[in-house]
Amino acid sequence: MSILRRFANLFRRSNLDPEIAAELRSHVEMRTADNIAAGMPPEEARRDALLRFGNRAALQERVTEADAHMFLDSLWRDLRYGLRALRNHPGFTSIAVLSLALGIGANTAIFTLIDAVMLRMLPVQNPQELVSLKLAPDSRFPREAPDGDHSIVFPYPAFVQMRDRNQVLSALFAFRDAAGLSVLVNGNAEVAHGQLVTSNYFSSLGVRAALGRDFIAADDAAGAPPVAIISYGYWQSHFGGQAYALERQIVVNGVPVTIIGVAAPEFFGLQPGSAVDLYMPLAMQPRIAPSVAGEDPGTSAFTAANVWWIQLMGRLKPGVTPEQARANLDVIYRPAVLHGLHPEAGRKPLVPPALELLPASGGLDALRTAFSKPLAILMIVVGIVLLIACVNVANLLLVRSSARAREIAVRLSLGASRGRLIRQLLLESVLLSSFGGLLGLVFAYWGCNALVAMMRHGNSAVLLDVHPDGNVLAFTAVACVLTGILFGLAPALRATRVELTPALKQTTGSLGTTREKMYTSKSLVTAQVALSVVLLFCAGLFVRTLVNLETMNVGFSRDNLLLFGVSPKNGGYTGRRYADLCREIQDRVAQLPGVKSATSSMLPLLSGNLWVGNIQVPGYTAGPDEHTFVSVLPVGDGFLSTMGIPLLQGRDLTPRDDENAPKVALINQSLARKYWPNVNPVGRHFTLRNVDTQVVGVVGDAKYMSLRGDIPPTLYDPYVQQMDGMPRMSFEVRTSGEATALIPSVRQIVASIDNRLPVFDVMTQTQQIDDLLYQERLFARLVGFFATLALALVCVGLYGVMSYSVARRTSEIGIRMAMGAQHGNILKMVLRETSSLVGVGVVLGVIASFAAAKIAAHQVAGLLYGLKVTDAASICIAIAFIAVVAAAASFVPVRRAMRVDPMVALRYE
Amino acid sequence: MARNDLQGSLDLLILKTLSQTGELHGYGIVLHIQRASDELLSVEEGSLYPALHRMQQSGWIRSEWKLTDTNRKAKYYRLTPAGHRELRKAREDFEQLVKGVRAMLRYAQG
Repeated sequence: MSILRRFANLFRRSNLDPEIAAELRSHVEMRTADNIAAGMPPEEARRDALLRFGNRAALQERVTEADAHMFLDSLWRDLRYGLRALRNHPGFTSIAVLSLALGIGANTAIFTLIDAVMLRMLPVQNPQELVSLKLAPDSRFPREAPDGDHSIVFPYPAFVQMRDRNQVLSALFAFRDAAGLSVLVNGNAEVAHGQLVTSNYFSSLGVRAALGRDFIAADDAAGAPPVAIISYGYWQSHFGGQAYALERQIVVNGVPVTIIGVAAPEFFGLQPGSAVDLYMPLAMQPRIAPSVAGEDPGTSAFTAANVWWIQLMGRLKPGVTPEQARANLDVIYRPAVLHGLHPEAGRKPLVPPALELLPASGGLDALRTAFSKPLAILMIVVGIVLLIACVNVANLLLVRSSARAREIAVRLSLGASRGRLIRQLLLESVLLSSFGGLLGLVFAYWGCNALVAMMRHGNSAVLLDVHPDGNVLAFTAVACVLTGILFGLAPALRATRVELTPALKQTTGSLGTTREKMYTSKSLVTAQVALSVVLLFCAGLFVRTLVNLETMNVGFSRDNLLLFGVSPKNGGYTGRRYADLCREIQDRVAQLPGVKSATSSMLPLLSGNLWVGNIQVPGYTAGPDEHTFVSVLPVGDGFLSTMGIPLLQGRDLTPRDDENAPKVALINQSLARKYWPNVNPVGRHFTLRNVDTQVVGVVGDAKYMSLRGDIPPTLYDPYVQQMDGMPRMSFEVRTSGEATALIPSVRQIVASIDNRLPVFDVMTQTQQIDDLLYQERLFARLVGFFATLALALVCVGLYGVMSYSVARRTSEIGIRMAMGAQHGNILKMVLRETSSLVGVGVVLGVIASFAAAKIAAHQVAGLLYGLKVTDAASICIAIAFIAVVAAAASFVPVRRAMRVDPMVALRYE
Repeated sequence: MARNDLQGSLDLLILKTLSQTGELHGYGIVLHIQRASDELLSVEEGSLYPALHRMQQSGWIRSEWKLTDTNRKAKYYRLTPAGHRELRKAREDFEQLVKGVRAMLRYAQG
């Protein structure tokens, strides 16, 4: 009877085994025949035979139960036997469990991340009904937006049209992030992450209030009293979870706002990885966050059809497919945005890009987009690590199975069936992997916390809730059973294929099938070496990418540079007062001891953010699909000299280029090359945002938004000449010594000028670049860490096999030495064995690496920088690492071989 | 499964039957025990089959479908080496038990 059926019998006992029924039937028939032969009439003969059985169904059930019960009984006995066997070999058990724990733990940790980022649903009602609205990619449709992804924002009037006229959604709501709010709470000026939402936001999501009330339509009207709902986390951290938080006033960007509610504890916002502190009605945008929409001065983001600024999410009506919904919404959306797409001078009118609906059951997909590829690669990497760990344990089991050959032979000769023994051995390996899995869960818990701590660092903080949920535990359980069978099956099959007679004659261990066993062990180690070459190669690629990015020439000097930001607009500064404030901060910081110079710009360099502007250059005609957007950075005095960007032609900006002077700008080489290819651009004019501007100088190319990619055409203009719409100002301070030492003085200066202005993003330029590279660094570290882990496992594996091989050949070595072989010959013999093992593994590994690189080139190329997917240096590094580890692993076995005493070795035989 | 007092002796009877006859089906075991014990012992069908299946699970006996002399299909049981050992053990145990019970009865009489 199969194991599966036995388990089935346990649960469905009424489903009786036909075999048992047949056996009982045959018994009844024989009894009936005998009764007839004894002279009974046939009817009575049969009745008598049946009667003797009593209730036949009940009997069948008892027989079945005996089977099932005995199965469990023997399983329990096997389990105890297995536990005893493991306990009797603590060395073997601990090495195997540790190997497996590392492998399974790594897999669980990465799977926990995948679960948190990719699989988990939003904690809202029926999350599978949620869809987010997006624009199809369209190169002819670049829009000016202050920051963020341009393809996920819509004009407010289009939202109203879609909300009121669609027939496919039960709800449509809008929201807009307002990060970096200056909040005065409990007397402290702090920065908080806000979200502006329509009043139906919480009710549409089905998120209840933990305290207080939800928004009502009247809250989301122009001129309504400012109110806010705070997140549960913010309530806990700022109000100790006390009810007095309700009706309290906090000051957000200078506006007093009343707290009316607290969101449900499990709701962290719509974006996995980032948490919202404050939710406020969208109608408060002009007062709270005038810059987020980027509307032209004097217009309203709520009426302008050309201001794309709000994100939309809807809930599908039951039975409506996403495609039906898309078609219905598309019809409403197109005319609503069409007259907002004013054609640029001399350009064809644009067609709005198509509308797309994305499933939003897991929230917005920014984090998923950013992490899906790295996580997939990491999952493969840890899968390989687990495979290597499995190979190690399989090798250990092989070696042990020769020690157990006698025990197994005895049991076989005493009548144990081979299947039963295999089951027993497999049970032992699953037991091993389960212990490994339990320990692995502990490792995974630590690992996840460490990972999340790394991800929480800096500006691009990712706040993830990584707790092992049902998905994770199920994953680990499956991983345990599969690995147990994976590494246990081959040794179990091998161990039970014993030739009884020689094995029984053997007194210690078995040499019966050693040659074959050695061969299997060696193939396994070769496979390990090959797998770890692939991992090392992979790690080499990502580490070299990181090094390339970190050491590249960014076009300015990054050392000893302190950055900090303030948001004067949130403090009510505009126009001249704004400019004066910035100048005062800059001048006073520049006078600090240890400061060489100070400057300011709207954004710090390499922050991941960018400002763009549309320029028209007389005499330059753009191609049909070409856009004329250039990167723009409004800067203060001394920007070039402080940052170390070289001035190549013309003059620098001066304090005389103020709001009353003619508008001027510096351009970088890329811009000069594109628009004035063969002439001196200094003195030429162009229009930026419909203002005539003169080029006064050409400067060297410097990175602006990100490290990757070519440096785009960039222009630097004096911020005093365009004060409108500058949400924040960043200051750059060049120091002679350690830049971080100045942080307290800088905070003090800003506080002494205006203590309502929070200072944020205080960091050195190096830290800023680190922040930008945090994903690359995290990734390189993780892959590197796992490759090291794999290397350690391979080292153990190689050591084990070489030791065993030397031990097996002790007498051979003894004979050779007795025959006059020199130490050198023995050394050569053992080294030849090692190097052939490793050599074959390396060759296979290199082939596998390049094959994998070719296959995954398309997926991986975007993650690399400054090298090809078949990077020769990375493969050389991988080989070097393997060579060193192989040498280390075989050192002890080689030394043991050299020290063999011929007399002892021969006597041993 | 409840274990009755006769459990051990039923196992012993079955093991002994199989060691004497080589291989036999369930009905044959019932007949053999009846005959060999001079009709003193009769095995209930209701206990026999659960016992046979339990013993097979323990690895004492093996089974095989075969044709009887009368050309009927029946499941034949035979002892495994483990079954032989078990028989020796069960026999010793039983003899110990009988000795013990006898001694006990004698003591009570005296």
